[in-house]
Amino acid sequence: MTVRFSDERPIFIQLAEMLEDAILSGAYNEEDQIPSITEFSVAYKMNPATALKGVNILVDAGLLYKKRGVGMFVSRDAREKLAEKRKERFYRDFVEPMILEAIQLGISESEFIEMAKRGLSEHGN
Amino acid sequence: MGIEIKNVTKNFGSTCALDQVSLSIAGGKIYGLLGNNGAGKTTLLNIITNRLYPDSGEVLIDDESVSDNDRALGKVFFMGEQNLYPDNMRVHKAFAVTKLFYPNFDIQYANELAGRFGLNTKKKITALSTGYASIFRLILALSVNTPYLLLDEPVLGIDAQHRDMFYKLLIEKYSENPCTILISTHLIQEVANLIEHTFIIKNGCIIKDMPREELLDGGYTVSGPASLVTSYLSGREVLSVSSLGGLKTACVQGKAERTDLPAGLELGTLGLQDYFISLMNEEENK
Amino acid sequence: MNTMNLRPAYKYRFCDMVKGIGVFYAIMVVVMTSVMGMVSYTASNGSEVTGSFSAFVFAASITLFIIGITTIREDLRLMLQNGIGRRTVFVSELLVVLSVSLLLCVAGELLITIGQAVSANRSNVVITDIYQMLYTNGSNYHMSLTQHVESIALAFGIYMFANLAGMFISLLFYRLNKMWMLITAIGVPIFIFIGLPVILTQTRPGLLLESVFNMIVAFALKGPWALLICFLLTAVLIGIVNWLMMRRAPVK
Repeated sequence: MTVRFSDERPIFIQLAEMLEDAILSGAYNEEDQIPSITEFSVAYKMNPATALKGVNILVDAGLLYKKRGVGMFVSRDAREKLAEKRKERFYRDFVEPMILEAIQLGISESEFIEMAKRGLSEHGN
Repeated sequence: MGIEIKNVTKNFGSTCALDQVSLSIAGGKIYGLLGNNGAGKTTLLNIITNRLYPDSGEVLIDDESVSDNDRALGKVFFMGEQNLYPDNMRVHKAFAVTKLFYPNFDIQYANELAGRFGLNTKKKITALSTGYASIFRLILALSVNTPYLLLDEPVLGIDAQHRDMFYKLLIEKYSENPCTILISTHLIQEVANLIEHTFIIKNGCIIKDMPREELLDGGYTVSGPASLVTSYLSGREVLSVSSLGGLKTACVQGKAERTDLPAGLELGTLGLQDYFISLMNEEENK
Repeated sequence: MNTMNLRPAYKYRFCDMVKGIGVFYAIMVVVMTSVMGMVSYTASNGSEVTGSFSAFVFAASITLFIIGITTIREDLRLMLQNGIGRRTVFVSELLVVLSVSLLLCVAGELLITIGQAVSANRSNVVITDIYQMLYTNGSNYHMSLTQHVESIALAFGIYMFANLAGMFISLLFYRLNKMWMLITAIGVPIFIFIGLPVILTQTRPGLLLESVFNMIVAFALKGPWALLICFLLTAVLIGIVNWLMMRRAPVK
């Protein structure tokens, strides 16, 4: 587990996002126990206080809960909550820039919708 | 509680190595003492551990002066670049001697680490290569279990694999048995994610003394087409600028305002090493 | 005083020094028995050979002198690495030298006495040492208890002086920078062999000094206790200078 943190965002935020990704992708399933703060900080070579900060973002959002004396676990409805949260972010991070880029390239609305349909049929669920 | 350094000044002949340095080290955090070679880091650490005497000022550990005070000095272990054990002493004997003086020294753990690093404890300390001499000192530092741990350029001369091992062991130890650690180094990038509080020292003066995140929050990077960047920079406190072709990247002091950011420009957070370099250059450009 | 962590410092240095002294003592035992053995062996073949063993105290003081030179810097560095202050280093060194000197002078006296007892009826083996040579007529092998105590005490004073003198030499060269080292290395011999005799015989204060020196020597020769006091006083003076040199010694 040697992931390099980039300089773009504070490390604890990057750790939190990594954890969220892991929950969404199913790497950490609901009610699973996740590694301890020590294990995270050792694996990513980061300060344990920083690791704790990152984990606490998820705890505060109700995505993780702590069982005293045992460790930290993924909440039962974590995936749902995350998906909701991510949808709004999906719009902001992907859809909006995509639209802006499309405008810059001079793509019309109908062309745009055509592209969307094409994408959905090629990769769709 | 903690290590208090009060107005310490030290001159070597006509050179001023430390100028009115005051610091506070406490609270079970990992501190970074960052500076270039010759900035005064080792001198400061030598003064904290009573190996050198300051010309003025004092050092207190848990409210006691360190001068000739075994009780205070016994709470600190200083891992410096110098080997202060007798040259012809063997490693296992050095472990035993350290245990004599630091009762919490864990010999079993030290031997276990020696095995993991591949250090032959029967060897004499002088017979160790540069890398293994450092590893020997690292093992001492990881096994000594004192409330305060000072590390001066801990990984110099150590290969990448063993460096990695060391950082992981250090974090593991710190996470399970919190203590106060100070890492003094000029390898900023290596320790950037490890340290919680930053001291930056230049030419014997402390120019920054704040939590790492606060330090990095105090600036940001902006990059994009050169002309856009240049106009953006007017009226702002610029730390450094670098350009490549038509693109420019600048480090700026202050808070980033995303709202009035012109299109085409990108903002980013400051990396510790870049910020450090900017600071060193900034001081020179003044 | 409760900031001094004496016990580990004392333990470390004592164990270290005792090993060296133990080896020395073993060698002395071997030498003495060899001398006795060889002489009686050759004598049984009818030759006129004499052997003597009379330099135990001398050899021991040289050993302690060398130990004083070689260990102080090493120990100062090791102790500072292990959180022990200079004051504790000095005090523990003193205590260890006291202990070891005591052990050595008693053990030495024992060795000589036993050697003398074993070779009592042989005239071709001479086993003796400095006290007897100075303060008894040489053929007097049998000493009273008081004399034994005086002999032990004298050896003790000599040993203390020797070790502290060794420390002094080492610390002196530790604290002197290169220029002063050169001046000392050249200047001191010149002073001793040329300067001092000139001062003592030609100048007024020199003559005064010489008479003081003669008084001291006369006093010292009065008896073993006088000589012991001279050695101990000198040892104390050297010890004080050693502390002054050590107390701010930089360790880098």
